[in-house]
Amino acid sequence: MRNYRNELYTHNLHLKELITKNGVKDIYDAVSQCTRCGYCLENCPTYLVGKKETLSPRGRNQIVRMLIEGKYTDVNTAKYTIDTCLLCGACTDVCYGKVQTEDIVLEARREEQGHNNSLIYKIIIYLKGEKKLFDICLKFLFFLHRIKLSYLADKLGLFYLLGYPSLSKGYKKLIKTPKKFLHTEIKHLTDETDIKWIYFATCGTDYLFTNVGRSSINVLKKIYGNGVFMNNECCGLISYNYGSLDDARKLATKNIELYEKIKAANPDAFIVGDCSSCIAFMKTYPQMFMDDENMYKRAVDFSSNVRDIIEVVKPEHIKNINFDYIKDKKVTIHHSCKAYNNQDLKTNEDDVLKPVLKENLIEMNESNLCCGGAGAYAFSEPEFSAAILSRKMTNISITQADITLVSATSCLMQIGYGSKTSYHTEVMHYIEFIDRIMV
Amino acid sequence: MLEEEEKKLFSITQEIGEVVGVENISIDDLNRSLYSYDASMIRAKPCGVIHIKKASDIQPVLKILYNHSVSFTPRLAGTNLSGGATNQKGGFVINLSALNRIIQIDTTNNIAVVEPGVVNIKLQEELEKFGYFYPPDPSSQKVSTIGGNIGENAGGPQCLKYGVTSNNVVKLDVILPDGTEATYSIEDYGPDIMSLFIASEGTLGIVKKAYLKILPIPKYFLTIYSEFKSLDDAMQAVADIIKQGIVPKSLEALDRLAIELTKTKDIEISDETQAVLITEIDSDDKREIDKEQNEILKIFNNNSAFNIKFSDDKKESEKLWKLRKETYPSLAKIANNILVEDGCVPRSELVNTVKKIKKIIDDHRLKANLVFHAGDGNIHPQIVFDERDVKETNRIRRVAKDILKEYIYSGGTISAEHGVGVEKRAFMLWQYDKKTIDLFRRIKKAIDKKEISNPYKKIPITNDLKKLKRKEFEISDNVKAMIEEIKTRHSKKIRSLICGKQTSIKTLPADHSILSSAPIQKILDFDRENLTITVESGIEIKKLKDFLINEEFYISLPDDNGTVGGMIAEKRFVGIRDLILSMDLILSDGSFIRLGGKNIKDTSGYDITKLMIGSLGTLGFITSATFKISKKIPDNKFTKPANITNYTSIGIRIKNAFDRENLFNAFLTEKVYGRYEI
Ligand SMILES: Cc1cc2nc3c(=O)[nH]c(=O)nc-3n(C[C@H](O)[C@H](O)[C@H](O)COP(=O)(O)OP(=O)(O)OC[C@H]3O[C@@H](n4cnc5c(N)ncnc54)[C@H](O)[C@@H]3O)c2cc1C
Ligand code: SF4
Ligand code: SF4
Repeated sequence: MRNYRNELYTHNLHLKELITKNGVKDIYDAVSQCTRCGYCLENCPTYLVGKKETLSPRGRNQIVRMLIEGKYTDVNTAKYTIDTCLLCGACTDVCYGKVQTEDIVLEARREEQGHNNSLIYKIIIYLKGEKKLFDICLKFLFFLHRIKLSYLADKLGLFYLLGYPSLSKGYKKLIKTPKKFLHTEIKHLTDETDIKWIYFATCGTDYLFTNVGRSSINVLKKIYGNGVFMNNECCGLISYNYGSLDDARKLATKNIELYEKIKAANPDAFIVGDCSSCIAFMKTYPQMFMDDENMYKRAVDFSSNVRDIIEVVKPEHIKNINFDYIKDKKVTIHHSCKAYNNQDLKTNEDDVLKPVLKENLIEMNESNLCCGGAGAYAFSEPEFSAAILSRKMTNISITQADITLVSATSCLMQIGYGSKTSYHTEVMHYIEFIDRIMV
Repeated sequence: MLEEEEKKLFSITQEIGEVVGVENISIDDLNRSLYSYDASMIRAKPCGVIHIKKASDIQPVLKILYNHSVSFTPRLAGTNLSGGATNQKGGFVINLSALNRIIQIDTTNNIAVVEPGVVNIKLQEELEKFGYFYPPDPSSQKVSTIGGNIGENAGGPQCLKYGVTSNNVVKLDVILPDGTEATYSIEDYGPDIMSLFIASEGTLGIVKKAYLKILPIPKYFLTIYSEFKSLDDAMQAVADIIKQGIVPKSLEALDRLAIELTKTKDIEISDETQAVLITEIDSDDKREIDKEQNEILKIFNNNSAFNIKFSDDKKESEKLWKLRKETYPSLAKIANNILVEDGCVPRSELVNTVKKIKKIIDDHRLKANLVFHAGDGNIHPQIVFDERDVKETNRIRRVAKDILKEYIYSGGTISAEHGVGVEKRAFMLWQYDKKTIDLFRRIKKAIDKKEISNPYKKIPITNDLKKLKRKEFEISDNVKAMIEEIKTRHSKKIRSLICGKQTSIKTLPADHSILSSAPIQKILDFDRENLTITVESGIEIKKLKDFLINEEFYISLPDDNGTVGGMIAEKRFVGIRDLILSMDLILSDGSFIRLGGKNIKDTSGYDITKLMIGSLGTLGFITSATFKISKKIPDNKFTKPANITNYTSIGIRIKNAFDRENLFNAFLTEKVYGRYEI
């Protein structure tokens, strides 16, 4: 019955199978699950700003299906559709078939780009394995950036190194570099006993938004007591999205090993991190190991113990509140797509903050619509990228919020940039806000 | 592609590019591939896609296409289920989705003015801020657009009480296939041309702007959820509600599989449940709600309903509605392809037809759920399959045809709200006889001379199939005699003055002979369970009303000495278009035309029934009409048409399609259609 016409999609460049919320499927079955009902269209940020089938989830699924069936032959001419996907998962969230468009799109990108063979990618992957060298290089690039040679720093791969290869140019200039990396600061947090949590430092918090990491650790201590820093590797998302699956698997394997060591002495401790993109990805590790039974099991164990920082803070944890800080402040929540769509964490922040802020928590229209910062978003047509951000900023400005809360570092960057260029709002990671209101 | 054709395409592309901007016209393979489908199974690659960004660009683009005789297909969200948004002739697809402006909301006159790309739910959300709503609410409303809803005459749960799209549009700005701009409204003097555009599936041009009827949200509502041990019980409850004369806002049915796929954590259903009814009533008067609630409850109890829940809370009731509205997309959980049938039968036939369809599904061991706009008699079996399996797909298609036949045997229609498109165009021949199909063809040709507006849709291309035996009322002997008389007059080119009791035409114009409806006064069909009556056109209005009152039924017609035919032909009040479901007519050459029948919803052909309203006897001789009736005394409000004459040459071309020799009410032709060359 099945009739593959393009064997390429069964090549090891690709995932063997996708674990969808609607069962395990190979790519052809997964993509054929799209009934073309169109339910996802009005949820997709690129469709909303472009109003074209070529910018829609349905279009993305259909073109991949045609590619697999050999009805469309040149993946490179489908770039406009494939490369413009934000990988935000909003389509899957409303799709009954749970068609995992973002993973399907990634398979097409892998077909289009192969395993990333660019020199810069190779250097970065090498450096990721040599932490000390990585730190030195990054510090040097930060130095260049600080002395206004940001163009050069960019050319030398600063933003690639940080995990945001295609950040908007404007924002690249605005970036504030931290004096100290988070992992050097929290090194001491490695040998505690009777621990409840294992902190996973994502690249964004480790190298750029170190405040966020500090807040996470403060809050975790207050709520759960003792914990450790995992001294982890990069989660591998950058390789998964832009490079080779094998590199992503290697990084995942290292993290799984690290976790297993800690787990041996602390079986109940959970892994927690504060960038929803990385956390969402770590929750899907098993998908990369579908042809290795042993690793698959280990990955399942790892993933089922990963938590987003926004899911570990519960309403009952907020007892004493710093009322001076929240007085007269209007707050709105941008539901980062990687938490809302991919991890199904839809009301966690609201449940915690509503009783605290009451009417000062203002609901944002399209609060879960991606800000355009998901993953690292290369838009072939810059006006789209701008239009997506501008839609978000308009929605924020309607709330008249003083503070906008997010849960992924890419949103911190993207909306942070928007707030400097259009409506001014203080953009803050949710956990920083929690840290400030908890006394 | 031949070099010659390529050159032509290139030059057209350039010309259009100058209007819309080169970035908004794409002839690359990617665009062509991704505009080759819609939500149906039909595929066809267009030669390119034109993305319209400004409404004012539609007209010049159509002009260019007309000059080059290149076909086009208007497209919005592409969620239609009949292949309507694919271009079958290798022309362009015109993507109008960016035209999504709500232009005006006028709560004084109860009107909203919108561009075609406005998504149905976006309009609802905007209206809600003013306490208003727009009744048509297709399940696809989260994505489907007003333009697409007009193209298909979309319906939804609320349409039972408030009517489908065609009952809720009051005026349309359209661009005809030759690039002419025109505005048609329900208030026009003369035939209701506006109604032809609704359900026309893009085959008569492009709707550029729509003026929609909006209503204040009633103060009270109540959603009633009820479970039944068998589908038969549920259907009987529906029949009883209608028979009792209760018109709920919505009356929807789902079978077990449908419920299982859509149900959320919030809803527990018992193991015994085989069907669910979701009923909603609304009113500004709380007492009315209470009264109807009691009546409905009694009926439910008589039909062994259980687990009955009530909700007058919007959020709660939305949860219940989600169960119904998402039955179609939820099938994606279990399948890659869904074939949704969409027939409508007279409500008195509902119980029987559902049994037959269920048997077909069971006999063929299909995986299919059944959902219904039960109150309308609109049955949707939704069959799942995988189109990658060719054998299975062919089997499903065969079974689907058997289901279609059941609708027709019961006097129903092959399309209630999803349109005909490509999927069902051949089966139009099962429902209509060839003369009626030919009339559809002539109407299409009258408006779209070059046949470039969404070609090969809606109307069969060949005449391969024959009309099936359909449950229909007999033609009376007097009508038969009249057909013969008209044929004779046709052969002798005798002009006729069509009249009823001659109430408004006082003197006989020269060279006209009288053709009176006086001999035809029969009541052809009185269906208490369907709440319809079919009468011959010569019957006096008073007589009809008296007959009904005697039977404890009502019809919303003004007191008038004239005949039913006269009232329709003269469009004595605007609302008459919402009362009439169908008609029979005789054309000036003696062809007998039978339209849809007594179905509450019908999108199978062009809406000739509405077109005839106001036609003043110039198009055809109306022999009978089917009216909606009610058990409640209607609150009669009869607004006269504003008598705006706003004709383009279309009027006279339509006249030609019906009466080429100008034999019917010739003396009026110029008055009605203006001075256009015949
Ligand atoms: C999940 C799902 C549920 C559905 N539920 C319902 C339901 O409950 N009720 C119902 O009635 N339908 C339903 N449908 C069918 C479909 O949604 C409707 O037919 C809808 O009206 C199509 O709107 P669209 O915007 O997608 O239009 P499209 O599919 O893009 O176009 C529909 C037709 O209109 C024509 N058209 C488009 N724009 C214009 C224009 N400006 N001028 C003239 N012609 C135009 C097109 O050529 C085409 O023939 C459902 C479909 C799906 C997938
Ligand atoms: S991805 Fe899902 S929601 Fe979107 S068209 Fe396909 S089946 Fe429908
Ligand atoms: S992942 Fe986001 S951008 Fe990509 S198709 Fe889905 S909704 Fe659109």
